[in-house]
Amino acid sequence: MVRTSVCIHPGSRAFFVIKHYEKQRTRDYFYASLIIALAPFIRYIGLALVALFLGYTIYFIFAFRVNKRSSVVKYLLLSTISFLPIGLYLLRNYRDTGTLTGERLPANLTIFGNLNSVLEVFVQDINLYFRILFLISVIFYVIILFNKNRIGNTKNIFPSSFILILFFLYTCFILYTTTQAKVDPIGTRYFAPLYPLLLIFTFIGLETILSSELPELVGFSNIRLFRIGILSLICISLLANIIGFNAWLDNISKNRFVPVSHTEAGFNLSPTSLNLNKYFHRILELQDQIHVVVSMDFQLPYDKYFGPDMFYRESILRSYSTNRFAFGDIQVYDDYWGTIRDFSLSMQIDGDPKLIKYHNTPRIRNDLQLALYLIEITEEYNADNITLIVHNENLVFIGDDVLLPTIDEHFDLVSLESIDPYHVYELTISK
Amino acid sequence: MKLLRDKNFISRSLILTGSIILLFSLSVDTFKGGGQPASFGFRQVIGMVLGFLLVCCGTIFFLRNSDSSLRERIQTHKTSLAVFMAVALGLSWLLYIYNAGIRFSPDSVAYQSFALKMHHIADFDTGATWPPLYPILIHIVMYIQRFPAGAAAIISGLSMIGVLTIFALILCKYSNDVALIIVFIASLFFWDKFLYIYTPAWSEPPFAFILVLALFL
Repeated sequence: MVRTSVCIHPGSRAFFVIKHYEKQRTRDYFYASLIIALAPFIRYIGLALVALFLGYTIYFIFAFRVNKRSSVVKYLLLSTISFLPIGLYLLRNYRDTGTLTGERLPANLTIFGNLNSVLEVFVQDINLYFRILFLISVIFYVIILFNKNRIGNTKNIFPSSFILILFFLYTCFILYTTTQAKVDPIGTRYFAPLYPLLLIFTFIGLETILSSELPELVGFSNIRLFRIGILSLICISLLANIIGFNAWLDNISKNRFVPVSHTEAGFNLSPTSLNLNKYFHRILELQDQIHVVVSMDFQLPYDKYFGPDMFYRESILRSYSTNRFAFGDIQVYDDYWGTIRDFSLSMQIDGDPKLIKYHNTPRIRNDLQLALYLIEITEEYNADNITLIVHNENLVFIGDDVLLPTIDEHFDLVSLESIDPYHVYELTISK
Repeated sequence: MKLLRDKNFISRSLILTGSIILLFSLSVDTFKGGGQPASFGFRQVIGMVLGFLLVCCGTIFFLRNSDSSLRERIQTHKTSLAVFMAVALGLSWLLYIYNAGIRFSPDSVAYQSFALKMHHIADFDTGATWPPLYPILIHIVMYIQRFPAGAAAIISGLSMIGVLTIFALILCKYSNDVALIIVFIASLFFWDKFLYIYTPAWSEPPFAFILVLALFL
C-alpha cells in the first residue's frame, strides 16, 4: 500500500482539531479555536460547535494528563478565543434587547412534535440505501469502541466520535430552540450543513470495514461477499442521489418559466420580475416619492411564507440604476412572527433623492372592497390620481368587466396598459 | 461474452461513453427536457463533468489492471485527483447559481438589506436577531459584484467549492481508494437536499463550510 506523500496543497497538514488530537501541537489548537469562533457569528446554532470544542478541551487536558499548570492555563486561555467574541456579542444583545438572540414569540410546538419533525427530516432527506450504510457504520463504530483492546487500528475513533457528538449536540440545540421560541419549522435547512459530516462519518466507517478483517471478527465468514454488498449499496445510494438530483433540477426548470414564479430558480430569467423591475425604474424616474400599497390576494406558489412585499422589495433591491440605498424601519417579519411588514426605502438615482414607502394592507377579497380601499388611500395621502398594479390572478380579471365597472362608480379611468404580457397591468385612475 | 472476459473491456467502455457524453455536452445541451426555452446549460456543464468522471473512472480501472508503477503513480496523485474533481464540481455550481440567479426568502431579503446598509452607509448593526457575519460577507463581495443578490450567489458558489474541497481532503486522509473517494464526492454533490440550502441567499452555505473547516482544516 502506497501512502500519499506528494501533494500540491497542504492536505495532509490540514486537520486542526484532529491534528491537535494526534500531535498535541498548540498551533493546531489555536487555528481550530479561531475558526470555531466564526461559526456562531454566521448562525447562532454554531454555539453547538463552541460547546463541543470546550468539551474537547477539558477531555484533552484530562485524557492526555496535561499536568503542567502553565500548559493547562495556556489551553484555557486559547480556548477563550472560541467563545469570548460571541459571548461579548450576546451580552451586547442582552444589554440592548433584554434577550440573547433577539425577541421571539413563544413556540407552539412541544419537544415531542419537534423530535418527530427531526425524524421526518432524516427519513425524507436521506435515501434508504445511505441510511443502511450509515447504520452499518454506527454498528461497527460501537463494536470498535467496545473492543479497542482486541482491534489494533483505532485511529478513526476520534474523528467519528467528534462527528457523532457534534450531531447529537447540534440536534439538542435545535430541539431546545424550536421548543422555546417560534422560529422556522424544523426542516432540511437546519440539518443540511451537517450532511457532509454525516458522509464523512459513513465514509470513515465503511473504509475501516472494507480495509480490515473486522467483518470476519464479528462473524461474517464470507468477507468478499460482504464487501461486494457494501460497495453495491454505495453505488445504489449514489444512483438514488442522482435520480433525486435530476428530479429536483427538472422541478426548478419547470418553475423558472412559470411567469409568476420568479425566484424559485433565480431572478434573471423570470419575465414578471424583469418587467416589474423596468416598471419601478420608470416610475422612479418620474417621481421623487412613491407609495407602494400591496393588498393582493396572491401568494407566490412555491413558498407559503413568501408574501407580496418580498416580491416588490426584491424587484426594488435588484435595481442596477439605483446606486445608493438607505433603509429605514426595516421589518422583515410577517404575521407568522407577529410583526408588520411595512418598510420605507430611500435611495438616490443619479443624485436625486427618491423614497419608496411600502404599506401592507389587509387582504381584499372582492372588487367593492378594493374600490372602497382606493378611496381611503386617496384621502389619506391626498392623492389626485393613483396607479394600480394589478396581478391578474385570483382577485381581479381585467377585461372580464368585473373590476372596471366597480371602479368606474368612484374614479375615472385614465389609462390601462399591460406591464407584463401574462399577469401584470397598470391602471391609472383619478378622482 | 468474449468481450466481457476482456480485462480492459469495462475501462474502455467507460472511457468511450465518457468521451461521447463529454463531446456531446460541449456541443449540445444533452440532458435538457423538451419544450423549455433556452437557458444557461447547467445540465450541459453537468454532462461535461459526468463525461469527465466516466473517463477518469475508466482510466483508473485501466491503470488498476496495468503494471504496478502506474498504480503507484495514481495513488500518489489521489489527493490531487480528488481535489480537482471537487473544485470542478464546485465551479460548475458557481457558474450555475451566478448565471441562473439565487433564490430569495424573507431571511435573504433581511440579509441583503443589512449588506446594503453596511456597504452604502457603513452601518454594521444587524440587531440581535441576525448574526452579522453573513451580511458582512455579502458586503465584502459587493466590492466585486455591487448587486447584493449577485454577491450572495458568489458566496454560495465559493462555499460549495470550499466544502467539496475540504470534504475531498478529509476523505483522502482516511482512504487510498480513489474510486471510493470520487463516488462519495459525487454523492455529496448530487444530494439534492444538500444543494437545497445553496439555492437561496441563506447563511447556511458559509456555515456548512465553517463546520467542515473548523473540524478538519
